[in-house]
Amino acid sequence: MAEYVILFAGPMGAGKTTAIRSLSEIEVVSTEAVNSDRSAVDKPTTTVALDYGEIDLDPDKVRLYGVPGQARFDFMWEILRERAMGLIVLVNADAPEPERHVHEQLAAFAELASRGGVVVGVTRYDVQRTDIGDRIVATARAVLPDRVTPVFAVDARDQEQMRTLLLSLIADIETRQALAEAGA
Amino acid sequence: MNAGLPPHRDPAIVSAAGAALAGLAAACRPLRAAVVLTDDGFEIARVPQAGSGQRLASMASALQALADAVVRELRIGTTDHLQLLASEGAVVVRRVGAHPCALVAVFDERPGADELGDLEAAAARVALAWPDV
Ligand SMILES: Nc1nc2c(ncn2[C@@H]2O[C@H](COP(=O)(O)OP(=O)(O)OP(=O)(O)O)[C@@H](O)[C@H]2O)c(=O)[nH]1
Ligand SMILES: [Mg+2]
Repeated sequence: MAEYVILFAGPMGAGKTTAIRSLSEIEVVSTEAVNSDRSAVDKPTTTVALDYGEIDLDPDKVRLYGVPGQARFDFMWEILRERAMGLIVLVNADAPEPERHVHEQLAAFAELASRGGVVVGVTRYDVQRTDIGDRIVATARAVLPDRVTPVFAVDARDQEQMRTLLLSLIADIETRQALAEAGA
Repeated sequence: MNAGLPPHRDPAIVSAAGAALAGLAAACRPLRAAVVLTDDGFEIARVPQAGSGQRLASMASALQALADAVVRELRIGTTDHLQLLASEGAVVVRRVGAHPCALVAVFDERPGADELGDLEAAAARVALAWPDV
């Protein structure tokens, strides 16, 4: 049995909290506060410290941590990324320039991306259908040229879709571990 | 009241918070710095005026939310305030009334009942200025 610590990153409103709530089998620890600036992203609350959930993917146990999307909480990014083994970057398709967010997030978590697994999930495709997929794939390749970074369209509210994304991340982590062992 | 303006950009709230903090700084000797913040970590006002209180505001927001999460998990009611005692100072975070707003204070030594009372009074002053929605 292995234990995985997974980090959800991405801009405000991408769906990190929603995704962890969809996936977790325990009651989620959340730190939502009233969102004061509805002109930035129009939703009632925002994460100010972390989200925490757990899921058993027999035989493995997965710990799910979400970070606050807003950059003034970047000290939490530093605290949480230390322990993480894999990164799920979520970006909402209806954000202005989603690929810029992907670039910023992959750059902020580049150290984790270089030692662990990474996948990108593009949410809210139903809200705004775009041809953003190719641009996000190109952006991920530019920031992380030495690895293939899978990009999925997902609905953060949908447990099945989020499980697929998570399983692909865990497969990525395992593949990289196996490659590292073979190379050692 | 300015409906629709975020609290940290509402001049009435910003000036009331500034006045409450100035009063706190005058009353409270061991106070090193204090910030009034929105629950989601925007700085509304600070003392001293120099520098920025944004980092302290964000960290206080996160601390308060984590304390609330623990209180919720243990089902021990609601958070009144939280105290963080360090070897060379202390931090207190207290909510402002029932509003999405908090006050964080940094002390050079452990705050006693007087200092905690001053903080409570400052928070009450900010709460009075908060618009009823
Ligand atoms: N229509 C639609 N809504 C979605 C989808 N994915 C997520 N959402 C919604 O988008 C919002 C995302 O909000 P959160 O989960 O709070 O976002 P977050 O990434 O945690 O944001 P911060 O904590 O503020 O950084 C929620 O209202 C979700 O229900 C999707 O694929 N389609
Ligand atoms: Mg969130």
